[in-house]
Amino acid sequence: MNITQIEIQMIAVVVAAGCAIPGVFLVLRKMALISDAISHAILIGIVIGFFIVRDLSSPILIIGATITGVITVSLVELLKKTGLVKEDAAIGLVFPVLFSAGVILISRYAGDIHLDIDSVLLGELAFAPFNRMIVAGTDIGPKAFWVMSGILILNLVFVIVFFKELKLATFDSGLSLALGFSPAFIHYTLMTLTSITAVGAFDAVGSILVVALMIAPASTAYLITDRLSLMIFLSILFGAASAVSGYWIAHILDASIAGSMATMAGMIFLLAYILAPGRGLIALIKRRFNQRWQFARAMLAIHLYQHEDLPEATYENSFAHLEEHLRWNPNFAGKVVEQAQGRKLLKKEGDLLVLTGKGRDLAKEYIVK
Amino acid sequence: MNDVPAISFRDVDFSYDLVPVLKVVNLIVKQGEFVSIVGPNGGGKTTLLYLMMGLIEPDRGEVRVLGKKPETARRKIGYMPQSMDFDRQFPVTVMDVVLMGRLGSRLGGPYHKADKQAAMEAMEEIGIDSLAKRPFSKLSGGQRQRVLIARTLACNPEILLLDEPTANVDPDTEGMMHEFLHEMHKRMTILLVSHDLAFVSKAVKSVICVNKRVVRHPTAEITPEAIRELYKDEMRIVRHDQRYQNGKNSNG
Repeated sequence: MNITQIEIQMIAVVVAAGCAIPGVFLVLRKMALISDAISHAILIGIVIGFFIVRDLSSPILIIGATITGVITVSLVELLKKTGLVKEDAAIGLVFPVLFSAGVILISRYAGDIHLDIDSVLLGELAFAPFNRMIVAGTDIGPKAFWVMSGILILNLVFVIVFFKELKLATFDSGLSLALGFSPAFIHYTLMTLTSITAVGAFDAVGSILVVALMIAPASTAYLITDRLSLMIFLSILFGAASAVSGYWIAHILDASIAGSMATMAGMIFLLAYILAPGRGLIALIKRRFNQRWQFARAMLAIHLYQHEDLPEATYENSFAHLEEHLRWNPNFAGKVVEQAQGRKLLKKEGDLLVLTGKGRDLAKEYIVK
Repeated sequence: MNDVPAISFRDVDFSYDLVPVLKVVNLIVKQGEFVSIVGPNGGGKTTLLYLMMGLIEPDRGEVRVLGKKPETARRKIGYMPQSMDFDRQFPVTVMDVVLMGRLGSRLGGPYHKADKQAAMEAMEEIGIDSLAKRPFSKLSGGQRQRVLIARTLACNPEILLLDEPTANVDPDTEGMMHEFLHEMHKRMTILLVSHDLAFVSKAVKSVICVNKRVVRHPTAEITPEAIRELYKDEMRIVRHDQRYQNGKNSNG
């Protein structure tokens, strides 16, 4: 590994980690799509900022783009509040207008400079190390690394200081309001941070892939943990893992680094979607399967309980009768009885099925419910 | 407890965008009382609660909570919002949820030791201290309701404001709510918003009817005619073992 490769990976990791933090709250607040809106709409802020200072790495661009991001969110809220359009439609109306205005500005006035639509949409991580941060004549590394590290720290500080407020406002905005604590404050601060993060990241990974890095790691973590702090930590971890693995895949395939990073973020999500303990696809199928047998055992216990000690018991509670009464085929009935015997729910006395104390308890438990 | 009323409204008017929601509300709830607030959707129940908590200002008149301005006295109120729109998978533990009741007005930073202590005591009182570390998402409906009650108690309230605590709960949980309210009534003022008149008639002695105007009735006077007058066409009465119930399980 040469120094440029290491630097690219360092930038990729801070970009992914920085995006993961606001991503967690966007996912939990069911606002994933707003990241799409913000990351597109900031284009016009970047372009206008660029026309003013003529420097793609100037902080003025970040400020301009952040303001456009917040304006986007406010416009969406405003449209939504009229009650004439739903939230998703409001998002779909607002950001293309701002984004296309940005596209027109670039194609009309910025044709001859280093600001083209491709680089805005997709970024170019491979070039990021060439733009150096020089402090007092000393080169301290790539500018993108320092900018994004600053944004990452800003996000971390916000989450740590307002952790309990974020948790409450996200979990139960009704109570948050009642405690005299404005959910709007959290909302707009979060939107501002999302905008800042999107601007910082767009230079490296482009505005579209910012969305993948905000949403995919957080959605993955959501499937895995029941603790918010752990969800944030895991999102950062998954983001960083997508960044490094994506870089090497791009290296091997000689493909876009940002594209590979986003693809890896998606792959990690897919793995969790299938394998996550308790919530993944496999766990779900297993649970459904178990439930079917569990239900059958309970049915059997209830049936036997209803008829035991009654004159008809010898007929009703015989194994042969299950087919008629519960509409089970003999094969299935045999398996259920076998399972029930294994769990000591019943005993076989000839053809007659007799509940044990445990089997009776099970039946009672269901009947009371 | 002293003679200062828990809640008092004097000639209160309130409107949203010039549409009057509440008109000339005069209301006194004494400390230690247990009253219910009933009324149709859009009748102003929630507005009445918001005024009590100082989240909105009346256009006219005066609201006092324990003799003070609502914003000042708000922390003496334990508020239990309707609990229907929670994200069931939200990554929080029971302790996290109960601690939310302690948020108060202090902004930023972690919870203090005293907050955790109070949350633990509230959980012990409701008998869920053993669940403290469990994920909220893994609880049953009844357990969740208990957690929300503990959260309401965590701020050591003098007044409880409960918004439809028996909407969408099973009979067991309803029975538990009943017992809990009975117990809490011994030491605090309780205001209960409910559509469930069966629950109300068993639990409380007095009912506040809200439909733009606010009127207080003793529970004994809640007859089908009085209910019809209040809810107009919006209801149907289901009578079973001497209970009256609003047919729509609505959330106003």
